[in-house]
Amino acid sequence: MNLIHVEKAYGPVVEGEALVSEEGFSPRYDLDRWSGLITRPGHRLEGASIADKVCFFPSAKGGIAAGWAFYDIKWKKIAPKAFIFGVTNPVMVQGAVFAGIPITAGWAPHPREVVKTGDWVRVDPGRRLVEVMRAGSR
Amino acid sequence: MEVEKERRLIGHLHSLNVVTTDTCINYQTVYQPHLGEHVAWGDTGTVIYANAVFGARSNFESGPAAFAAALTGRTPEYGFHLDEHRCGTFSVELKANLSDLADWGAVGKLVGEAHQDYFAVPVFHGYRRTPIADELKHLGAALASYGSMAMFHFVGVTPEAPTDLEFLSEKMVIEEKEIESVYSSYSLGDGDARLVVFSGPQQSLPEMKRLAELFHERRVRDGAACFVTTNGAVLAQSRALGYAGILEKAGVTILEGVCFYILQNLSPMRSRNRWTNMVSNSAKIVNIIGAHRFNTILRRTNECVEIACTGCLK
Repeated sequence: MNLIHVEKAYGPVVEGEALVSEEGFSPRYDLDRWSGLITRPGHRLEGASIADKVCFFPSAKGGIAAGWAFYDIKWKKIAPKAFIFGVTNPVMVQGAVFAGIPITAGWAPHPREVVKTGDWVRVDPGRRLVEVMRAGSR
Repeated sequence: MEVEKERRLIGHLHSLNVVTTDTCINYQTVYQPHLGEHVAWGDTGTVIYANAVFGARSNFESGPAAFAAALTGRTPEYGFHLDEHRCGTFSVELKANLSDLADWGAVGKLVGEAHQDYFAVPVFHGYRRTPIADELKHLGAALASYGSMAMFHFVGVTPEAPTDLEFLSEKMVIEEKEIESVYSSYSLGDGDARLVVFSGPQQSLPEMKRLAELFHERRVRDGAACFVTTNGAVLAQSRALGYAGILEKAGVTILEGVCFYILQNLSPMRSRNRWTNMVSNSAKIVNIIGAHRFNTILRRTNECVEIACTGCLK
């Protein structure tokens, strides 16, 4: 089983390296918007870069900053390839759509059963699928 | 360069007849939507207050989406505009005293962290008195920050609160020990006590009054910095009433029309001042400022003032 079905999805098909988080995400609370690194002390992914990754987050934190911050990091070329959320909120979705970053919400099975950080994954919003193409080196 | 960009943007907004109020407490100072009124607001603290306390209807809208709503007079019919999403999904019995605004933020942290879901709607009940607006403001801001929530009910207080809680299967209880556990959960880091912030949301007039009482004839310790943020209207009244003068005489820096966490140069400021800790009575700002690499500590309002004046962090 290397497929994750997502409930809602937007954007073109993309492929990239997975970054799987057990903690939620906000571009304001957690991200250094100049380097693309997660800099919040104690975040489960502290020190990791989201640039060019397919990012799996169980939840969205806070709200409004995503509305412009995703466009900002896209312009700075440190945006992720896609956001795969368990639960999200409208500002995350609006921000991702505005920035042209694919985004999905709702998943089955839980990514932790299927995908690990470093795996190569394909996100197909039209078919509402995330597919693990090959395992990363680990 | 950033300042010039900001000035140009504000100029564009004015040319479109936008009223720039530079505030996140518009619901306390600018406009109070009525029960059932559909609005398209952005800042999450304003959205949850509009939905919960006024019974107005808004989702978290990004800047471009809110702007589109302003241009068209329309907002998409989804989420909290619909009855089906406004019902309570779990109950929270408040047995704690909640004597300080920071305690209300702590409740928001406890409930929000445990239910990180935009569509989770807590129903508070069992509290021994009627909360004031600033208490509901700190509760809502923290729920929105920690839980990404946009709605709550408070039995006997908010207009859409349910009368029958039996149908809510999940029940949470918050007692004094849970509130104390929030305060004891913060690491004091290297003990740095040189940055105390009252912001996020901006201070209301009653909050300015209270701070003026606490800082009266006190002095922020040499080498320490204490920031208060508020909007233009509150600051003008605070000046007229003498609150702002007392704070400034005590060495407090008042910032108008901004919030501390949105200062664009905050990380360079942190490095330059070698700040490691940030102390605040706002559970929201304690949560939100992490990306700037601060170690943050929530304390009650009077304790924050003591820390600013004595440097004694416990």
